Amino acid sequence: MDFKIPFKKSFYYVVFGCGRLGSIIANELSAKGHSVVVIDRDEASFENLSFDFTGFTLIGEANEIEQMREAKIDKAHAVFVLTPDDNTNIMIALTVKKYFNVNNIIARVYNPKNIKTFAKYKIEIVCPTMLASNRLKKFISKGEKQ
Amino acid sequence: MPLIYVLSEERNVIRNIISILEKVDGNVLRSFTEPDELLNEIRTKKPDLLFVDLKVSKGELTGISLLDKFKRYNYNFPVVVVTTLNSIEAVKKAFQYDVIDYISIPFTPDEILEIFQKAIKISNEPTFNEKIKELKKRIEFMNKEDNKDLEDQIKSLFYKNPSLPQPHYLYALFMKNKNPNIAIKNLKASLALDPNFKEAKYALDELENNK
Repeated sequence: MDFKIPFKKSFYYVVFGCGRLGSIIANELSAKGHSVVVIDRDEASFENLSFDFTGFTLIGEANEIEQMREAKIDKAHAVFVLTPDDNTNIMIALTVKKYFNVNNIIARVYNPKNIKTFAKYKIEIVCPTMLASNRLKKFISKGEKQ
Repeated sequence: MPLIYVLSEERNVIRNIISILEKVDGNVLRSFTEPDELLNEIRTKKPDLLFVDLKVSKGELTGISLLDKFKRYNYNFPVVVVTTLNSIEAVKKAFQYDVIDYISIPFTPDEILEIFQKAIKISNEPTFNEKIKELKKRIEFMNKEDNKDLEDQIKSLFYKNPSLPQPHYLYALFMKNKNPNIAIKNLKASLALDPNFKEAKYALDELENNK
């Protein structure tokens, strides 16, 4: 029998935190046909996932190396670090980078003052406060021009 | 067209495996949540690869008891067991039933594709019965001098299937002109493993009458 390389490749993603943002990202990745693992210490948070979510869920402390090993982090094409705490996020991101050699990491930063810390370790970030403030600043400048 | 069956009670296990393998051209996938349903399907059409979630349990049928059935019915399609990381004992047990591999949850697309390639390769290899038939034919037409390769192949069947009567029978056919005593010894061993093995019985009678 002939074996052909799949026309559309599936990727493997790990998402830390299954709150509002984490669940949206996990649902989106799953809907696109990728394999997804979501880790959260609160089992109830998995209720945020849609009915169509077909990935796997793991309950546990996100920053535990054993948990990461169980999630096969080393095989992840990208890791999303989206817990609601900046300190936890930096710790997870650094552990994933240092111990599991994953380079595609994107973390959420709540406090813009922490952006520099993430930048120091070359971790890609998304900061909702900065995104909102930049958008609002644009809105203000537009108003001033009128 | 590779035919792949997936048995699991977990929706995400089924949908993950299917979504990864349906992207390979030509694959035909079928999923089952009930072991009975799977057994019925297998009776009509055997797959090229079967994934069995060891967590499956319905009445007396469990993942392991299904593997036992496959072995007893001499089904020889490749089977991969799906398990969680903390079920090492169950995996060890599954390997006693000749599964080709196991995969732990959560699994990655690459892991599934790797297992698929391995299974298809195995699927393309001749089955035990086909191999026996082929070797028997080669013994009939073997030349007197150069048959080292044939002997090696028969011996490798011994090592792989020590409890089956056919390799002893084949070795007896191979040796009957060279050393009838060794042939008789092997035919007796073959009949000890399966007293109803008619071909071995006829061959033994023939050799003993010619003695």
